[in-house]
Amino acid sequence: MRTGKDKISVKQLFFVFTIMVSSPTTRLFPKYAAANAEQAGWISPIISTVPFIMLLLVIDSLLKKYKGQSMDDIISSIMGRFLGKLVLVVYLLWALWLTAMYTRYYSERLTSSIYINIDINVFIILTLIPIVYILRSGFTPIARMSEILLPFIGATLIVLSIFLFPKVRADNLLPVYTNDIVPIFRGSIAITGILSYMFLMFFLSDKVVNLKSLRTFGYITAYVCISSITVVNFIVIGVLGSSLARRVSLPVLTVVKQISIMDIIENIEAVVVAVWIFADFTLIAALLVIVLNLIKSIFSLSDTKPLINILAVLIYFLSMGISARRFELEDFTNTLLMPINITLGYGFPFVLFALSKLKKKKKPQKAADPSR
Amino acid sequence: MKIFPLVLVVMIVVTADIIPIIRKKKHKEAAVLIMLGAVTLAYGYYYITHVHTASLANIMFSIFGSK
Repeated sequence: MRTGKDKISVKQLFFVFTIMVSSPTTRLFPKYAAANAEQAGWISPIISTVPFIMLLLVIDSLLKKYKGQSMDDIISSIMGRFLGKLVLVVYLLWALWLTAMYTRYYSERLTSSIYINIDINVFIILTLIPIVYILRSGFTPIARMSEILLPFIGATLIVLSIFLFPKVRADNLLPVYTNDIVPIFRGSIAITGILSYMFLMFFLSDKVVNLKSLRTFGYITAYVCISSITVVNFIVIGVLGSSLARRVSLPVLTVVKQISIMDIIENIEAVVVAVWIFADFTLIAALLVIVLNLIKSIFSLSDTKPLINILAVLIYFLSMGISARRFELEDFTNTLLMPINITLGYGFPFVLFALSKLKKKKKPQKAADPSR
Repeated sequence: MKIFPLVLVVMIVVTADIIPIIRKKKHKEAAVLIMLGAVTLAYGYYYITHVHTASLANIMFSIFGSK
């Protein structure tokens, strides 16, 4: 149910989020889970369900209490004008960092997989130009595009899983003992960290209508995301084994390259590359919209369209200078980004929730004063 | 990339976007646009002069002291 030209539904917001998550699902999760939990890495996504559902409930509670306000307005009303702006600046820096990082990852992934002799500049520029062009029409085209893309990505995952299932070896996935509980938790940190982008998505809540169905679609999204990540981890670790999955630079691509159906259907990794391009395009565009929305809130602007071009130029330079080498960026993702994601994506929303509850308790006392 | 193309690109982008904003008398938007242009120029200059060693990830590592 959409009421305005620039509005999107909760369903569309979750569609965009699911596509955003699909990008790191194929790049990071199997490697991270295999490195931390070895053969039990495929169970790791299930652990992430609990914090994700809790985050959804916190967001739902905040949005219900502050009806009609976006997350940036809610932060300002709970924390006050100055502290609120300070927090928004931190979130702006985080969103800006993520945009630059995923732009770099996108081009690095293409140059290290199939376009080996092409400079990363080319892919960064070729991605940013259409994003800038689309964002001039607002976030709605991206949301509508994701409605078409998500079924395509889901169908690709299902078909590839069916093709790869016969290659899964039980000894790569088992045994799983009680000793694996701690490694499984460690393996779930990356998934929990990436799922925290859900909180960032709600900086767009002023563009979203029908927020009543947030919980319903949130549960469906949790189910879809967690089950698809589990399937990807299961297939990758099951086919490659944990020792190989943690060392290969692009484990999903390596696994898909092994598909051969009666020597007729082979070399279908192009499908995976197409999914990467779509997913990263949506991810970068959505993050850029979040950055623009945060700038709009911090500086109390009426329009952010004139900032899109210069922001794209800034993202270009940031993505080029974010790291000298790909390994440095991966090291950063594995060691520093996840704690930052969890702090800003889970820690702060819970603090905000607690503060909103404290404010709720104070209100009746104020209301009681005039009657005395 | 050299300094001159950087300055040229930033100038063109900022000028092209700032003219309609000023016509509509949206001065706050114009100020933010100029600020973003200045940030882009400053970071672009840093990147161009440290092209082989520029690394925001390394700066973050040194801030958080984890490497």
